Amino acid sequence: MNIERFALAAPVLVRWRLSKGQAEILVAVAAILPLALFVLYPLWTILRESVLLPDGRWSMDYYVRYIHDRHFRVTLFNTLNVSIWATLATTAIAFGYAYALRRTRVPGKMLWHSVMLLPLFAPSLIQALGVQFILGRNGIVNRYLGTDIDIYGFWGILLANVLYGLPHAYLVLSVSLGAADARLYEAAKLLGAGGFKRFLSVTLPTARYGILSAVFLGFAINISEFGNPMVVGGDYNVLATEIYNQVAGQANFHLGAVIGVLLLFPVLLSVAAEKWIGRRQATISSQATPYRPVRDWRIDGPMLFFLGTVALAIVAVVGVVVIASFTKLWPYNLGFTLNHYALDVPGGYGALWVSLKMSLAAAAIGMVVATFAAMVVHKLSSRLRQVLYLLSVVPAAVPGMVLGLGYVLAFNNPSLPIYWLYGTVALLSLCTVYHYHAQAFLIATTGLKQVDSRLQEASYTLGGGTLHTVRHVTLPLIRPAMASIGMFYFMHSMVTISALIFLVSPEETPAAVSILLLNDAGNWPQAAAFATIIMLTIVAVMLAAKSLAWGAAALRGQHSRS
Amino acid sequence: MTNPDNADFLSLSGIGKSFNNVFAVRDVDLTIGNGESVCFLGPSGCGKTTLLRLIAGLETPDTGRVTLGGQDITHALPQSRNFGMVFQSYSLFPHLTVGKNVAYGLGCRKWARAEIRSRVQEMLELVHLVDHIDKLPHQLSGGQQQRVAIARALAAQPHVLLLDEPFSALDAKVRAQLRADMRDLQTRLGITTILVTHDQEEAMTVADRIVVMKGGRIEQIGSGPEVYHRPKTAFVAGFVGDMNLLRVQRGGCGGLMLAGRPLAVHGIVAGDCVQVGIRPEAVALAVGDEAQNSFPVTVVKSQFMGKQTRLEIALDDQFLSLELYGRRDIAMPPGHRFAIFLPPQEIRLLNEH
Repeated sequence: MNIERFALAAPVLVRWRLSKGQAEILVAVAAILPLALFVLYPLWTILRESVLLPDGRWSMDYYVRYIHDRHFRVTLFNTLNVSIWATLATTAIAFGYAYALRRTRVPGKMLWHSVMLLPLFAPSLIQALGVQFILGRNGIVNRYLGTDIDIYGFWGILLANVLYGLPHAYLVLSVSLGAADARLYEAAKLLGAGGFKRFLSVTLPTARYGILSAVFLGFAINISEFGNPMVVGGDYNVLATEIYNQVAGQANFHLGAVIGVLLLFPVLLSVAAEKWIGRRQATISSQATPYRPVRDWRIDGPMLFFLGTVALAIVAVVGVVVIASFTKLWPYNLGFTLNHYALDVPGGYGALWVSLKMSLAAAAIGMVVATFAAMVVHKLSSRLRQVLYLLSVVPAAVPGMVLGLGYVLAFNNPSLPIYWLYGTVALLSLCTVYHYHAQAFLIATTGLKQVDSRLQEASYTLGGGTLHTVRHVTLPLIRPAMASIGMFYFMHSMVTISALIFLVSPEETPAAVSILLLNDAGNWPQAAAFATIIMLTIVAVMLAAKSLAWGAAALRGQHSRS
Repeated sequence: MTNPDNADFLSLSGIGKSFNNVFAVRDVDLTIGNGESVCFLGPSGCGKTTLLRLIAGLETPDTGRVTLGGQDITHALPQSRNFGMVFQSYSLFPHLTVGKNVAYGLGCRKWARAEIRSRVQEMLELVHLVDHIDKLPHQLSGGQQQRVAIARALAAQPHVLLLDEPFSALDAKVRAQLRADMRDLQTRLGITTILVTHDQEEAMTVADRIVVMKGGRIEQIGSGPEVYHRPKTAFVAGFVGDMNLLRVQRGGCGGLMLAGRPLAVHGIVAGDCVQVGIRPEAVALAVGDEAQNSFPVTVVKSQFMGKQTRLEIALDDQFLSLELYGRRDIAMPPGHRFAIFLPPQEIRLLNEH
């Protein structure tokens, strides 16, 4: 064996070892810097704005002034009131839905599951539009039943928020209820526990972390929801709309910042609680026997009715928007027309183009940013790892309104070297990327965890350096996770409103924001048409991406066979 | 161009490594000759895998040095050591075909395409898998996957081949076959090999020298027969095969006493010896004419195992087991009393530490 071949190794390696720590720091900084700039800096700017007096002194004046204002106290009460009730209702309904699908033998499970996920593909205020079309002043109910229901306010927000939050809570609870150990149920049965008793003593305790998770997640979503209260809130002011009124309506950035900070804390707390609980979620033992529900129409029957009712509500609210977009004058003249699709508003179809550009860019940038952060956290051994992890998940706790306001305050500043970004589609993309950074980061982390670390070690021992290994082993193996991240970003960018509402300029308005503006202007039919177009676009792009991926896989398969 | 001094091709001195303040490996000194096949044997958690990973460069030792052919490689990166490694879980790249897996290390070393192709062909012929060159790993059986992993590890002509429990995920028959093949390959190629296992039989079949480890330290280094027949400690005796351990007392004139009777042994009895060992297969039935080392016992349990019968017997207040081969004429029900003979040359004096 040739000994001289490795004569070179040692000196090179000593040098490498010195710089190994430096390389790690360099990479960590490269991952941390953009997060600091696009998450921490805007938040810091909001915080500063909320305590900075015009004469340059720092004080809590704005807070004091605001808390003494009766209008504010009402707003705060409203926000908590509607958020808590919406959260409880969402969790209860989602629990029933998940329970029916996981623990009973109702027919058509695939269908019910898909329907529940439907709202995820639609702009968040489609629920509000739908509720308006059904129960609003000019809604189909008031029109044809002659009733005089006034949905605007508490009930409107509650209804729209519940419909919006359902899929999120359902996904959490479904996972939690899916992990059932049949042995516990058999034991309870042998000990003489009846059906209801088994539910109380086995089902609820094993699902308690899931339920708590869903509650905190739901609360964080509800309290920061902006589109729904904007459309069906009426005079019922909540914090999210209040920020908008203060900033966009009265250019009162200080008060906007104060509300932003006040909104930030409950969300931060509930997200922290949700993560803390999530870690306590019992992992099911490897000896567990999966629970196999038996057919029992006394339970399956009512459950089927329940599923049907909820699913109908979801479909009706989305469906009525689609139908309304094709009718001449909802609900008075139900004749078919395509007129609303002319979109003869400023921006028009251009807004769709803006949305597409922004969403594709967000998907591309987000895929890289989130994967890079996850990989660095995965590999890093130093303390910087915790810093990067925390920064990566913090955006989950920042309401879109707050982040958006932070961007305005931070980047609308000509003395900043990246001021040129302000007002461009690029900044909209970046805002969306960092708004959803936590979720994307977690998808990437899960993907990385599924890659056996021995594969990377195998690559090292075979002579592959770090970059070579990343390129030829790690990246190809996490490609599915990266595709999910891209898809996730695309979908959310197409429908997000809250983070962008402050950043849009008349020339660069994304479609989802246009819907809100159209609705504000009382142009509901065109708002409905635009919402429908967005949904169709998402579905079309997803199908295109799926078939592209499928085609590429088929090509690769052919290639490797030849 | 071979190294004239083969005796210490790869050497470890004073190697220590701890994780979270718990020692995984400590004070390890070991030299391995060129072309030698060495096995690290020990129970799980004994530090054998950590030691292998330290040699591979996947971990860095806290103390000590690793040298290869006189060069200090303690802090060398794994990718610059040119050591081949085979993992327990095969660790083939699932997205690459068999051929591309084997070619991976050659690509890292920037071999020319034609060279890579012929080398891959050659390696796959070596492990009899040429027909599977275009398959993906998941289309192969466990044994085939591990052979690909071996081919991949050997392709770039590594200085040392490291195997981390390579056969333990395979079923018994395939394991035995692959073990034998591996030994063949190793002798044919003359490559320095280090294998980690907890299976003493595997260690015996594959290695020239066995390094028995416990608690992060080396207990004994020796050839298979040495370790089996001359275990230095009670641990080695018990881990490598079965061993009956018996407490003994010091007798009047320097001899040993077992259950109140003198016990004759071969060798010099060290001062601290209070324990002796004897293999179950070395315990014999007394025929009645023994001058020494005959002890009365009672059967506690009798277990028929096919070609042999295993007896658990009580000698005074101590228990031992013995194996009887081909004695279908003798019935040994529990409670049966008889005498055993402990041949002096089979008794091991064991140090405890």
